[in-house]
This record gives sequence, C-alpha cells and structure tokens, in this order.
Amino acid sequence: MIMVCPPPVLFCNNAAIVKWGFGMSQLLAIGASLVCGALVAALMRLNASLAEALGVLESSFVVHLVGTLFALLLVGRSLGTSTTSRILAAPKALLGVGIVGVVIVLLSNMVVPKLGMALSTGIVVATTLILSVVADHFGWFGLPQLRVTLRRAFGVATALVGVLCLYLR
Amino acid sequence: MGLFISLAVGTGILLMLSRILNAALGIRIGYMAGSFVNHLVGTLFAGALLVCGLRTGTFHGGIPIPYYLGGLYGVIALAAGNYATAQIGNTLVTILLITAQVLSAALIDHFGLFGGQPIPLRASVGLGIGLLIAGAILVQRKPATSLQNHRMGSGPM
Repeated sequence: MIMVCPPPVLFCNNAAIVKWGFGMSQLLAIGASLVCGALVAALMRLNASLAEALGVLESSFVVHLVGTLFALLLVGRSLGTSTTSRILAAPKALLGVGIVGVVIVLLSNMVVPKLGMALSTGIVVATTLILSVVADHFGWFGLPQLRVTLRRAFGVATALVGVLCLYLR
Repeated sequence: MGLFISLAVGTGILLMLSRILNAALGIRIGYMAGSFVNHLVGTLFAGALLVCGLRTGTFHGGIPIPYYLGGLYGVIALAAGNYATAQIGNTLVTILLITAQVLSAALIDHFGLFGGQPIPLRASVGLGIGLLIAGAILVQRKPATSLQNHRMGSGPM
C-alpha cells in the first residue's frame, strides 16, 4: 500500500518538457505528485484507525484485500493476455514484496497511533532519504555509484534536525 | 516512545526495500500488474497468518466505510506517482510528494482527521516540516545536470 513511490532512482526524464514546453501534462503531473503525497498520508492514518478498531494484522489484511480487488478492476482485462505469463515468469523472490508490504502496514499501524502522523511520517521519510544516500554511495542494487557529497550530507543532517523538531513537544 | 521510533525506522527501511522490489517487478510485468500481484501476495500472506491463529484483534462491523479505503488509495497513489514520474521525472516527483505528504500529515494531526487524536500544530512542527523538505531537496541527485543534458535552448525550467 505505501509503495507508491517511483523506483528509487530514475534519470530525470525531461524529454517531454523539452519537446512540448511546460504544458498541461506537466501541470497535471505536478498535481498528481501532490495528490499522491496527500493520499499516502491519508491512507496511513486510515489504516491505523482501522487497526485501532480491528487489530494491526487484521487491518493489514483488509488493506491488502481492498487493494487487490481495486487493482484487479484496473488490470483485469490484461490478465488474460501476456501479463499473466509475465507474472508467472517473474523471479519468485520479487513476489515477496507482498509480504514486505504486509509488515510495512503492520508496523505503520503500530507506530501512527503512538507517535502521530507528523512524527511517524518524518521518521519514515528521513530513513528513506538516508538509505538512498548510503545505497548511492556504495552503488547498491546495480545503480550508478554516487559518492556522498557535502550537499547530500548536509541534506541528511537537515532532515534529521527536522525530525528532532517534530519530536520535541 | 523509543520502541515506536525504532519501529518507524524499521518501516522506513522496509519501505525502501519494497520500492526496490516493486521497481524490479514493475519493469518486468508493468506497474499496475505489479501492484495487483503485490496486494494479492500480501492478502494471501496476511490471510494465512490470521487463519493460523495469529490474531491482534477481532473482526467486527460498525466501522466507518472510509477506514476501509486505505488499500484503494494506495493503488491510486501508485498510479498517480508513476504517471507523474513519466512526465516530470523522479527528482521533482519525490520532492513534491514528500512536501505534500508531510504537510498533509501535520494537518491530519492538527484536526484529528480520519479517526486520529488531534495533536495541535506547534511552531516546532512547522520548523521540522520545513527542514525535512529542505533536506529532501538537498539529498536529490543533481537535477540540474540531467536537465542540462536534455536542454535545447528554450527549456522552461
């Protein structure tokens, strides 16, 4: 459910901007990005509220069930075609992402009622920022290596001070 | 408090792992099909745990319908994120997404939206959000470099 973000590092694809100028689709994309962020915040709180009523694992189950049904609605037509064979051909380890997803919702459900949305979100975002800097530094996951620069280190420190501010009551 | 902070860090680590796996899966079978498989496997896994007797609560009715819609929003958010990435690139999407996410989180806290306890906004929260967004911008790979690579004289950004 929370895996909404695009792949961790893609090349900045500005070909569309160069070709068409700053047009409607770019404005739409900016809107879509903002909606995406707001939805992620909303669903974290909704999942946690469901967990407070049903239980953290029960909530994670329901979240994934609803997601499955809705995604099925969107991809249903293509499942009869090559998509199915591609799914079956995919490395089985990649399917484990669903298990990771259950644990993510489970943990998020435990954390959000205790820490509140702002602090929970802050810690999660800061953790992913730090991890992507570390992963880039060592060139993990087959991505082009990018050594830690002063700018990136300063960015991590800034985000951490930000989380500290969210923590202070 | 310390325990829950550790759990939140754990959530972030797993989130990063799932993004990498999702990207690898999405490249192979398409992002929407990837989302379907992801949720299906999750449903089967969580369902199996529940059937095996691992319970953290009880199923019962009388819960407001919106509480059930987190999974639906997740699928929509994934589609929106992928659409945006194809249009304006990962760097800008990440910055905008984090900005909207932390601002929404603070508003949800402040007004106690979607069933949460209200946590009134404080100056330190505003400062924290600003610093977090600034950090996210600084951490991005140099967007200027890739922009310049593509720019042909009249680039708007």
